[in-house]
Amino acid sequence: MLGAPDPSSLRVWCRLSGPFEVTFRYANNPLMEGARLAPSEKATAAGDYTVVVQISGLLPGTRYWLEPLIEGDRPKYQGKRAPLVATTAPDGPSRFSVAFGSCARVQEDATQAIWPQVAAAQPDLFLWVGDNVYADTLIPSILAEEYRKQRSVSGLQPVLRSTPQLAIWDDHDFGLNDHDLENPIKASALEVFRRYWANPSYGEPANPGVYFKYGYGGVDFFFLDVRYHRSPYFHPDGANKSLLGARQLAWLKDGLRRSDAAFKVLVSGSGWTSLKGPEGDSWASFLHERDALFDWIRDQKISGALLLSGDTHRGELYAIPWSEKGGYDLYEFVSSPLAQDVSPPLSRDIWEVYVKKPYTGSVNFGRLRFDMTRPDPVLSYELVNVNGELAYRGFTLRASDLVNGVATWKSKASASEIERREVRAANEN
Amino acid sequence: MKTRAKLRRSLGWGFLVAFCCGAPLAEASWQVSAVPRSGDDGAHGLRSDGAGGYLVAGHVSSPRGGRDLAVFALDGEGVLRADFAADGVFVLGSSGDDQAVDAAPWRDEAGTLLGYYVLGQFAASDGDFSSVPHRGKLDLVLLRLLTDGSLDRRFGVAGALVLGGNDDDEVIVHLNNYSEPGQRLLVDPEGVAFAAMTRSGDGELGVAARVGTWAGRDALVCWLTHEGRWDDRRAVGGRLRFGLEPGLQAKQRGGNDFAFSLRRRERGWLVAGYTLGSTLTDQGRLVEAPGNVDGAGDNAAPNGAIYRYKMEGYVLALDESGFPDPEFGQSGFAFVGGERQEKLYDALPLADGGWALAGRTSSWDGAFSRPEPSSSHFAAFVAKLDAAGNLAADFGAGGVAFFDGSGDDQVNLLQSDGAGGLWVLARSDSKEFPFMAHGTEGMDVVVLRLDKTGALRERWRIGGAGDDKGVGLLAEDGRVVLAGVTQSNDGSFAGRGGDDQDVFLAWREQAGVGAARERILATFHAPEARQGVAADESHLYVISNHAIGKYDKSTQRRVARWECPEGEPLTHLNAGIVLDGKLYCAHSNYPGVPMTSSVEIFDTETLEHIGSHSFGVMAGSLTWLDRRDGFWFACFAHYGNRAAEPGRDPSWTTLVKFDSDWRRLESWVFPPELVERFGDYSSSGGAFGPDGRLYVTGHDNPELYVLALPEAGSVLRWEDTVSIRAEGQAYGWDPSEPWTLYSIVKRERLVIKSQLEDSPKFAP
Repeated sequence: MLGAPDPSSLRVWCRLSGPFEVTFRYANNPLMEGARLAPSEKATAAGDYTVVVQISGLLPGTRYWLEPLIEGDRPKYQGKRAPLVATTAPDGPSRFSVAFGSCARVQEDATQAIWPQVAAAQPDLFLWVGDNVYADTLIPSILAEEYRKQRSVSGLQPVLRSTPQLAIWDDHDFGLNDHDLENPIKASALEVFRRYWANPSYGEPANPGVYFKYGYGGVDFFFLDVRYHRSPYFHPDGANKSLLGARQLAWLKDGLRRSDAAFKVLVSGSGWTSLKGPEGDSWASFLHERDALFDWIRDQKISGALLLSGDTHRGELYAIPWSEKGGYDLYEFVSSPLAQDVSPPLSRDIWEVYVKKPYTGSVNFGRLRFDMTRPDPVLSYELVNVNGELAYRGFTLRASDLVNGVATWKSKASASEIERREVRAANEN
Repeated sequence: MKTRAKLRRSLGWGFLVAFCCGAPLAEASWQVSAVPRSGDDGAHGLRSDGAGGYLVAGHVSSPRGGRDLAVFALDGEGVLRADFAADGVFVLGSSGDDQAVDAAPWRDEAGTLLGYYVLGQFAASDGDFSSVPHRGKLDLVLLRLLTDGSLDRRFGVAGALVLGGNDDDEVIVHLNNYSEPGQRLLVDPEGVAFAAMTRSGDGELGVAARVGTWAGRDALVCWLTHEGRWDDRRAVGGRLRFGLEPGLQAKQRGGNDFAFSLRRRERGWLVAGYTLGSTLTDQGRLVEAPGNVDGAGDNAAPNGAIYRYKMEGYVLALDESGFPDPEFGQSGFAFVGGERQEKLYDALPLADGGWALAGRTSSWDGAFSRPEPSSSHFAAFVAKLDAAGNLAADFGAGGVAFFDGSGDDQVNLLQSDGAGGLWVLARSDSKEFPFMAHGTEGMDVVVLRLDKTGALRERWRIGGAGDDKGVGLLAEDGRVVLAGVTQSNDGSFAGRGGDDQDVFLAWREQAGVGAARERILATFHAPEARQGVAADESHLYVISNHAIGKYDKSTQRRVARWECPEGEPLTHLNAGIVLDGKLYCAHSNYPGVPMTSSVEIFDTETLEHIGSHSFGVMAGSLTWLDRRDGFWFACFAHYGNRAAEPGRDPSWTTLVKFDSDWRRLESWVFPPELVERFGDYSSSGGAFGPDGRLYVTGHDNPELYVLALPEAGSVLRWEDTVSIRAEGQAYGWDPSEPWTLYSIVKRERLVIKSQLEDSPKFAP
């Protein structure tokens, strides 16, 4: 599996059948002319025989062909396979696409028909936004086993081999349903997570978690850990209740302040709207912290923030209309599930804006296409279903739309949605 | 005998036709070169080979049985090129029916010819295709050739990329009647796009982004990079398939959707074809092909023929993302046709943003109503859609022009004539106007030239006693060229030998056929880009009404700026030119009446205003000027808007020649058709090009009009039109790079550096 690429390096995750040493021959051409060897890694029982091989000193935005070598030889039954092809990250603003999804329950859907559609879309990155497996366990070895089952899904293989994978977790791959900081195995769960993913980093030295910042092609992604430090959802909302934890929140603010990317994508396993209500397992029961963060983004004049999430078993697209509070509209792209039953539609009369009707037609993935090469960078969004049909299409945002004082949601939402909010506002008054 | 009969007939009809519509039948003005080879040859598409010759995509008889995919490379005289593949023909084949439908040159950003792409289909994994996997029934194949006609082994598997699944994946559906020519393949420096059809539900076409229903054949658009990867910036993963849900009558045929033409639009693509389906739902919106909806009329034609299936022509506009453009028609779709059968083969972009459509019809209702139903099954038609996807009232009768004889007539392909009109490639076995029989059986190639209203201006018929069919038409490099297949062995084809079908090329030298294409080299934004731009060796002078910005050509940074001080008399600068270190700007009192004009002179070093020559009230409002051979040429515009002088309109716009002391020597007016094209704001820019002809812009249209001074009379001769990115306004030639010019898009405050490629080769 390809991990997160940098402009000068690649990461490749492997799992071996024993305590063997693995490396990759790599070259910038399919004939492997001038091939070089990456530093090898030794698989161990303690690490579930998983390793991440790092290949450094590469050129940005360049395709490389990689051949595994186990104990110095090409693996007997892999030898006839074509080399992996991986591309280093561009070293500046570029045009690229990112696919993302959440909720893959291999126990329920072992075939997972969405993956050929993801492979066909050829995204430059694939983001797993949580509930990447449904372990629902307090036994770390079971959690690891679920990862192995998920990795064995045949349709997923071409995606893992061709597209860099980045991941955060949500409750079902962290502990039990709706679990939070009280999860007794959270440290072990983090160990398993680290073993089965190839993210660039995990939390901070003094603050464990799966959160990390990743830049690609002129966009900064802030992958959030919404479980490790999360207060129980049933606690009363307020200053003492946190979804990110104080240190991660400070890390996020610091990263946002330092970022000069035209788009800053906040990736969360939990949805950002109030849809789930005051005791819901999402940001809905952490509105105090959410609103304070959004106010801070406004007050610090942080432009270009976007929200990504999963969890809900529906495709959704919201605007959190912070333009009404002096900021700009924060758009949330939700894709769920990848392989799991779809939930029935749920549309409550919430303050946030339903930019699109929730999609419950089939499993799906989201696709963000960025063009950062323009003077005013632009993104477009599609939600793709299991048949390759486009549940959502024709949604675009410019970087200049995401600046304090700019209100765009009315140009994106339907007339009936605008009317719903007008009626709601009238009733509140 | 035959020639005499033909001549006699043509003279007889010629009178009638000339009397009727001023379009005499022309003969003997085409040169024809057949390519006699043993066995049956076929042709589906014609393209320039990028090196002065032509490529004809088609097929040859296969020694294994069936047909082999073939590309014929012909020189400018229709002779097979000895330096291409095997004696001028590239062949690749299996034991089944393999064909090429289109072949197009591949150039890099600098315009260097790198090779050719060939789009086709193949039927079995044996013969030359034994090393590529065959997925089932017919598969699509995209080949890349080097310029010598050998496979480019860096592409796909040994030069071939196979696309398809377990069922038919096609570019040609009806193998035998050659009714499906059309430009399917587009190649530019970014990648390759093509239109095709698929019935497969698996493989890489089974995971295409989908619009509408999956039933029967789906239309398909694919985008690939030159590395042979799907271009994931378009649709999802570079693939879009679409189809309409069949109504009851089309159920048996599974709601087939055909795609025969793919052309570039300003921002995206336009696909054209026809559908047996009647509805689709896209993003919750219902799209209807009205003529195909069940209950829409009966299926009996006036001639008694019963049509089992309803068909309707469609165009689908895609935006740059590769998805349907919601601003166009119904969610991107527009339909043409009546209650019976229409087939649409081509859709050509027009300079006014509209589209010319070509096809055939057997309907007589709605927009397809005609005065007298003829006995024919199919009438040829050319229709026009406006930029929004509605039938355009300014074309034909209600948007459709019919060409209907007693036989089966159809229009296959369109090309622009560079002057607002159309070249039309049709085929016919009718024996009367407008197609004109040659007195024998068999089908002939017909070329029509229409003006921009759809009226017939010229027409030609090419063919002999056998069936002759045109498949490709080009209008470029001072020629109109067509390719087709012939079974005749008389007339122009006399001496061809053999009964088998052969490929032929026919051409006609034609002054005024648009040759130049614009290649954008650079763009940048400048706040002054409102009126025009002038250039010298090192700098650009971007001009607005009362300000001038001086920009470094290499860094595109502004190095100086002049702004008219408040209350000063310079209010409306127009175009400028740089001569001997001075910037000469046209200036007028627009929108004042009476119109006054002056030339205002600036020092290019400092942008200081250093001189002025006033015409006072002269021949109009000075919009642009140029100097040639020591004489000044200056355009004085008249307007059709609030700034019009009483009794004047844009047709009074005048080009005046002055001596070096501004004494008026001669003057000319612009041709009426061009004045109409200019619109109310007349001409905003102009200068002599490197070939000595005048290159003139209007105020809004993305076009450069090529004019020559007339040998006699007072009307400038309009010879050519070049599509450009700039939308009218003033432009300037780069004095240091031939054929390079700077122009602007006023709306976007954009300055464009571009080069005219394949610059016109014929002198005025």
